[in-house]
Amino acid sequence: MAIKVRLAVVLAERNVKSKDLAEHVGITEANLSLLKQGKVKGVRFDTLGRICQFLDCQPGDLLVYEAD
Amino acid sequence: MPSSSTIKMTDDAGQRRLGRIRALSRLMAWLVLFTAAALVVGILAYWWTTPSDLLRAQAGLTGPGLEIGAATRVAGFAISMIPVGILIFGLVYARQCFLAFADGEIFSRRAVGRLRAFAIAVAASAALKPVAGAALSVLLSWNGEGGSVALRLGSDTLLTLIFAGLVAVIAWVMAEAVAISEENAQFV
Repeated sequence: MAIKVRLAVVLAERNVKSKDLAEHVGITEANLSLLKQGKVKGVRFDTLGRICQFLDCQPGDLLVYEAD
Repeated sequence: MPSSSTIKMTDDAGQRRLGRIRALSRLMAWLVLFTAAALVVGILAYWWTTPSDLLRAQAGLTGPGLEIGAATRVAGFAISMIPVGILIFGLVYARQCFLAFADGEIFSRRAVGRLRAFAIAVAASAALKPVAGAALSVLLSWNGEGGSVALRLGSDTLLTLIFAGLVAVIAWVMAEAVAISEENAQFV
């Protein structure tokens, strides 16, 4: 897939635990793990907004486009 | 992957709607069970208690005949139970479907399969009903040398087939809904 998820990198940069983020966003750790691995079909704007709020970042910091 | 077998409704209206679906499904599951039992008891009582002349008349036979004996009544019950048995088989699937809905399992492949099985059973039962009726007319007019065949096709058979077709189409539509639900479940 051309869209890469950088959530794991941003989490590591900010030294934030997945558990805390999942709790703030209101999704399970399992789903957050799938999101980190890019194994989801899509992200809801609501979820994206909450992640950005918690990590104090922009959607572009979490998602990048890479040409195949 | 997240499971899509259980519908997730977060808003209050959705919860109330799901509650109504579950309550009605629970009621329908019991109604289906009662209907299946009533069908067997009703047909048994019909063959046990109905006078011979009335049995012949309802099989489409005219004119007086001999008294219908116990062996013929048992055979008549067995023939009647062929389409009814298939219908009961379908009702078992319908009950499983309602029980799944009652548990909140709305968009699932199992429910679709059960709904489809119910539709097939209803159609098969409707198609076999005239055949069973013809077999009954032969059985009840049999005098040792031969009997007469009365084949009756009523509007109820056609309506039942239309109903079965409708349920089959609903099952297909539900299969599409399951696919959408499964895709939606892959969104976080």
